[in-house]
Amino acid sequence: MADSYTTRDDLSEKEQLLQLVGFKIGKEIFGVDILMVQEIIRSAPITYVPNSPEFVEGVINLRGSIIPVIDLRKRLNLDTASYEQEKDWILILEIGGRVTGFIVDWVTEVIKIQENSIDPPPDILVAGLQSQYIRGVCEIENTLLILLDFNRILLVDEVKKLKTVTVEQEEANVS
Amino acid sequence: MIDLSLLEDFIEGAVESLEEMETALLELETSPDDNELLNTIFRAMHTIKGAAQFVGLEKVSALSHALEDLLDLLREGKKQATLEIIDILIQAKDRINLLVNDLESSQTEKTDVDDLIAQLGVHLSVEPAVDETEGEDVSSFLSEEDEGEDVASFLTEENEGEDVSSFLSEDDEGEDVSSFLSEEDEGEDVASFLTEESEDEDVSSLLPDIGIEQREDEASLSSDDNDDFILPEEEYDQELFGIFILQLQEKFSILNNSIAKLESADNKNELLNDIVEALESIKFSANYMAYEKLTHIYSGWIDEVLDAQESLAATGEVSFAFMNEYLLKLRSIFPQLEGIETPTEVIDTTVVEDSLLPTALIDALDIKDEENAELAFINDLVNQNEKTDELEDSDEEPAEADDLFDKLSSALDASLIEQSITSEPINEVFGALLDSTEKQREQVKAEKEKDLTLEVKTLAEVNEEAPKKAESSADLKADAKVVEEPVKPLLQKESKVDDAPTKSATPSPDKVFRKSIRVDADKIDSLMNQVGELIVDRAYFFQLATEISELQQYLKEAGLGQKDLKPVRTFAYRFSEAIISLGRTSNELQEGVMKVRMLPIAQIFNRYPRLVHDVAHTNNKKVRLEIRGEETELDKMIIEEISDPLIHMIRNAIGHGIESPEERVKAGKPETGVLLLEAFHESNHIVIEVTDDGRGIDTDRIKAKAEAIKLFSKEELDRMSDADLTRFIMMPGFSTAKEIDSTSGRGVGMDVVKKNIEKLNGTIEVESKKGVETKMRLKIPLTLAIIQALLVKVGVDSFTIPLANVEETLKVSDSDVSIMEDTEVMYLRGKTVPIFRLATLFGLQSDDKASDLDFFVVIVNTGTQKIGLMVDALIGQEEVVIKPLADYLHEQNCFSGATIIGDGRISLILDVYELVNMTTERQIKKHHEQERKSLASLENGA
Repeated sequence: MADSYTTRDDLSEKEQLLQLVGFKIGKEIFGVDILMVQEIIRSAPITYVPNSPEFVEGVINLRGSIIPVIDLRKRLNLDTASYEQEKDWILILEIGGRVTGFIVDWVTEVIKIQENSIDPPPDILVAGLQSQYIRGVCEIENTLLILLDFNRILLVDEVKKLKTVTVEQEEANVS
Repeated sequence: MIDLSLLEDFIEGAVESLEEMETALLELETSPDDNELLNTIFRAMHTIKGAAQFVGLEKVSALSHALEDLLDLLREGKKQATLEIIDILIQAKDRINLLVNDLESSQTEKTDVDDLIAQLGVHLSVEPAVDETEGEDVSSFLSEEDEGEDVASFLTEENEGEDVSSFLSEDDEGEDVSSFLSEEDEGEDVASFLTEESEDEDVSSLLPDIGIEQREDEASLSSDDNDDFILPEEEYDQELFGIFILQLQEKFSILNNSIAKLESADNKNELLNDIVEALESIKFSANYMAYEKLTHIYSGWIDEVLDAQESLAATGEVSFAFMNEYLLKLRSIFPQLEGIETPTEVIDTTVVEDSLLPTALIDALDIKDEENAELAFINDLVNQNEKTDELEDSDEEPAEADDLFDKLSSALDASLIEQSITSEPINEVFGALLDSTEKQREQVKAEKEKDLTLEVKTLAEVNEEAPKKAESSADLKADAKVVEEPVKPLLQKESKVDDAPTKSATPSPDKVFRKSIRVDADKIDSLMNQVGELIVDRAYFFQLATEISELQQYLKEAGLGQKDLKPVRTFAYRFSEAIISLGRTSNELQEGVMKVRMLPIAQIFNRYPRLVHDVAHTNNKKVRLEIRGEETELDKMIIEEISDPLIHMIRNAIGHGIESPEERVKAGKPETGVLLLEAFHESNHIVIEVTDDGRGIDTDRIKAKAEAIKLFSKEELDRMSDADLTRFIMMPGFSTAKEIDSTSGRGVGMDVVKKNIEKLNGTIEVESKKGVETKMRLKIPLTLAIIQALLVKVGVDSFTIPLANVEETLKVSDSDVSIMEDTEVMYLRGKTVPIFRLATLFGLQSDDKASDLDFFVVIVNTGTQKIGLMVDALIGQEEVVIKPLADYLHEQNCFSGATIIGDGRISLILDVYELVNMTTERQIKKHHEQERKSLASLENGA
């Protein structure tokens, strides 16, 4: 993500316009750099993968490639109370060469913001979200837009996954 | 001065040659007198040397040149290939290998070679054992006739305009032929003359010297500067000199052109740069050839050019008169350069020499012919060949065959003579000879007289090209025909005759894989992926076909009459026809693409003789390696993957399996142990067996160790079969070795081997007879990308089980299953097999309809264990394309990948090994918990 910013900086230093794909989970609005978004699909049959981490919804067949799909709400431990029925938007993102699908409540629109209007994530929790997954926040039309750090989201899930594995093993060893 | 663009090619070529050389060297150890082996080594070395010089690698070429000298001595029988010498050869080979590695990593030659060259020098200085009178005769003949210059210039001028590499390759071919000849003789005949003509230092050094010294006189007349110019009187390598001259000619013409343009041109500076570049290049090669004076002249020239360039920049005016002086000087030193300005002259001389030289040589040959038994021997072989054919098909036309063979042998003789001058015709003749021999045999069998006469005609044409030469050998054949020998040796000799020319014309069979095109592996992978997609599409079409027949049924039930249904039926029929055809084509395509990726396992097997040699040496053991089935082919990717596991297994077999010579003698076995490496195909798998006739696996020691590390209780261990116990060696950290040494003992080995093999969907089995042998058996699917699989249904999901792991499928009723230690088991032919419900393992909702009464069990086998998997239904057997899963889904999960089935849905592929591990872990866990509980209750009770 950082790379794409710098390229744009080179192109037009004055404007530094950032295009984001906005999406909603519950009441919160999130944004992701449009360059990371490969496509947005609706209602693909998801195949459940047994014994996978809880937030992994399963895998989908995207024109011959098998792509894991992560439920972003579960991944970010967002409030499940405001859970709305239709979770059939899947954002297909390319993160560090890996293509992953993320289930969101709905995708809103393409949002254009100034690069310099992005503030660093506040120390306090935003919408029950740990700040480590936030790249920055930006205020548009009196609402807070949260820019997610998807690199982190995928990275940490590996760490987490590894952790559970080692814990399991230790348990097995102890017993 | 290393040419980087060529370096890559050089490295690839060198690695191949080195591998070849190593194999031959190790064989040489057992049969030091095998001339063919020496030739192979020499060829490999020669290829490396030529390429190294071409690329400009000083150390490699210096070392390989020294090696070549030593090998030459060996080949001519002047030295014996003692173990000491072979050792040096191996060392030198390793050194070149190091250099090549240097080049690969840093593009420079770092490793030092001087010590080895010095060592080689010691062996070279030993006086030759065999008298060389014949060689001297030839050289004196040449100098007397004053043909030397002609030969030299002929050799170089003939190749004018062709590049160095083609010169080299031609030379190589010629050498192959001459080595073929030297194989047939002992050193005093035409063949040896031929060999010496191209190889012997006396002759080759003579050639350039004559050329240069003659001109030198003239040179000193025309230019005072040249008074002290004498090329160093060292031994020249004729081939090297050829390259040198060729390069010089090329650069000289560049210089000539540039200098001619210089006076009038506007871009003087550019031209001067070109000149300096060309000069630098020839200076380097002169330096390489150790022509110090020449190098000196070049440096002076370069300096002057640079000065001129400077003054040109400063004043804009400068004289280039000195250029022409230098050009003149250079031309006077190298008469070969004349050709560049006066091409007509060259053509004339070439023609003259062409006709002159062969006759001279033939004269020389004729003298020898009278006492020459060896040439006759070749005829002998040819005649015997013919007789064998007659014996084989005694009722066929002997007259024609006889006739043909007469022509053949005369063609052979003719070609022998021609070969001494240029290697070009020999290949044609040999090619024709080979072809016709082959064809002739077929034809005799097929009784096709017509073609036969045609064949004779073409051969006659070949003969006409050299009728004179053919005559000279005609009487020899008469003698040869008298020889009568029994059938058996004839057959052997026939094959020998067949073999030898094959080698000169085409690469020998064991090098088949070298006749290859280098293609980026990614290209093939992407092709393979495309084929994978096609397979998926095909499955989709099959699905459609079933749907159409369902539709047909539906329409019928809906009340459509026969007449209305007819078009639908016809369409369905034609559709299925089309699908069958598509299926066939895509199958063939798939096989074809898979074959592209297939390589003979020889690729890795050939690396092992060295390994065995080294490991046996460090362990003070005597081991003979036997390799079988090295031509067996398998996927390149798998070849790479199994190389390391195999190395481990071989080290294990020698380190642990085979006993020391003393022990073996005590046990009544031959001192030398045998390690057998065998590969063969078994349906869709390749099986690789590593067998040693060593002490076998001591199950008692395994038991003791297992008990010591509290893996199982003594009672449990006593109940286990030997096979079960043997399996322990593949557990992580399990080693029965008393001490850790360099080869083994850390207990990591077999565990890693097992993991690697399982990654490839392969299995490993160990069979052992104590005191007799240990056999490790790897069974690996031929390819990784597409597998045969069984599709099963659990609830709404379908899962894919690799067919390689499926032993059988059973329909089992509830009453067949009993509970044992909290696990469901069933009896299968007297053995208990644990059963696991996939639905429970995966936390899925099972389809409950009939599952309690009758259900399907798939028995899977991991090579070491058998378990039953309970599923709702069997869907069928299909060919599936494995697609990778994201790593966090793949790790610590029992799925090795996923596949897309006909209807576009995803089916997960079971990783049976992980599954078995998981279930056994659960069992053990359960087991431990129970023990703890019972302990706790005991304590409570107390």
